[in-house]
Amino acid sequence: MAENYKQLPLNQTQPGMVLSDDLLDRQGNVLLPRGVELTATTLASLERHGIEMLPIESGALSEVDQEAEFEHHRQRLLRLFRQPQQSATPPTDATCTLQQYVTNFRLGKSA
Amino acid sequence: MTILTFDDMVTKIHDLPTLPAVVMELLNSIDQEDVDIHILAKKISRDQALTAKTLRLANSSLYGLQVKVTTIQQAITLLGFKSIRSLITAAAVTGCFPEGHCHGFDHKAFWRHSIAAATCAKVLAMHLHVNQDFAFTAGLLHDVGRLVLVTYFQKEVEKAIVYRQENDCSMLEAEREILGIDHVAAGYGLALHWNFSETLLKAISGHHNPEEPGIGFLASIIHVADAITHALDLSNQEDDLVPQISDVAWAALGLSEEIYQQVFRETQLQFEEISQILLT
Repeated sequence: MAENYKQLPLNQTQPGMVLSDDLLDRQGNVLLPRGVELTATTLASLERHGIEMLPIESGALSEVDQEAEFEHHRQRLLRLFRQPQQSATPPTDATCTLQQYVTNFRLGKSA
Repeated sequence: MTILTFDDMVTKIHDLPTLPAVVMELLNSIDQEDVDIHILAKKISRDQALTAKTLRLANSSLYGLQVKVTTIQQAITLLGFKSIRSLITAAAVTGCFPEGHCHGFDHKAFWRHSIAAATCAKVLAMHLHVNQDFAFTAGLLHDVGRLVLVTYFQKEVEKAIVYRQENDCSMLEAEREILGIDHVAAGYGLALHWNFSETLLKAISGHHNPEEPGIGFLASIIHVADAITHALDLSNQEDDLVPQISDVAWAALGLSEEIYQQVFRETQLQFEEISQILLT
């Protein structure tokens, strides 16, 4: 599997994007192998197969886009791990550790 | 404000949706070793929709089979009875509760979260070398009490949802505040009523307090899997909130960051596939 990938809804994909994983139909058959460059024809055919999400390689992102995406992930994780207003107790160590691990995961800094 | 008691709820539970008889039989036998597999396989095969979904799960990348299975019997031969049992349960349970009209309760999001927790619990169990099928089933059913509350105390749950949004607290706290009982108690009541095995009962009732003595390791796995799926944002809810993780449960799992990174990745990939099968 590619180092960086993201799940994109079909309507946000474009010809030229590269599949980061084998694409399976609902029965588990391989529709397209990973590494394939998508074309207008294949995208139309995927729509007919009822595919909604595609795993797309994101290595091709520009640095600016990459940074914007990282920022988006950072903000989202801060929101998910927010402290409820009424909570008087600080987060547990385990919660902080998970937050760190998932942040590393999103930013591609895997151990 | 309505404060309900556990007994109020148990009275209601008696007219809860029932699972197909054969699925009840499977769930009740989850701790037994001496089940007549052939008879069960035959019974299941009579339910075509259930069979089709189960076979799709068996053929998914969850198991990476080299051949395609086409009958329940063949799936049992290749994957083992216990795996198939957990798949049948998943296929049956996800279709058993009708979508209600509780304002603010997102039925789809509920099942997305449950399936994500099941997937994550199974992946964790694999890395921990413990029974993956128990973990999958327990993960899938850990919040089933929410459905009980939504089905029978719709107005109260609607109030609790508003309370949760206004106070930005966890749903558990909102339920306790408004209803007086929470989804853990409701889940426990349903699990008793459905005759779930001891293992499942403990995992469901202990997933928010895995530190309770005697509650078992599976409760810790479900507790951590629950938090991971919230952190991975798999239920698609804007105001989702990662619950606090018990340090004791986290330490009990004792996994390295390297393993967790694999767990995140595997959970995300398998979740997409399984939810596509179960939610269509």
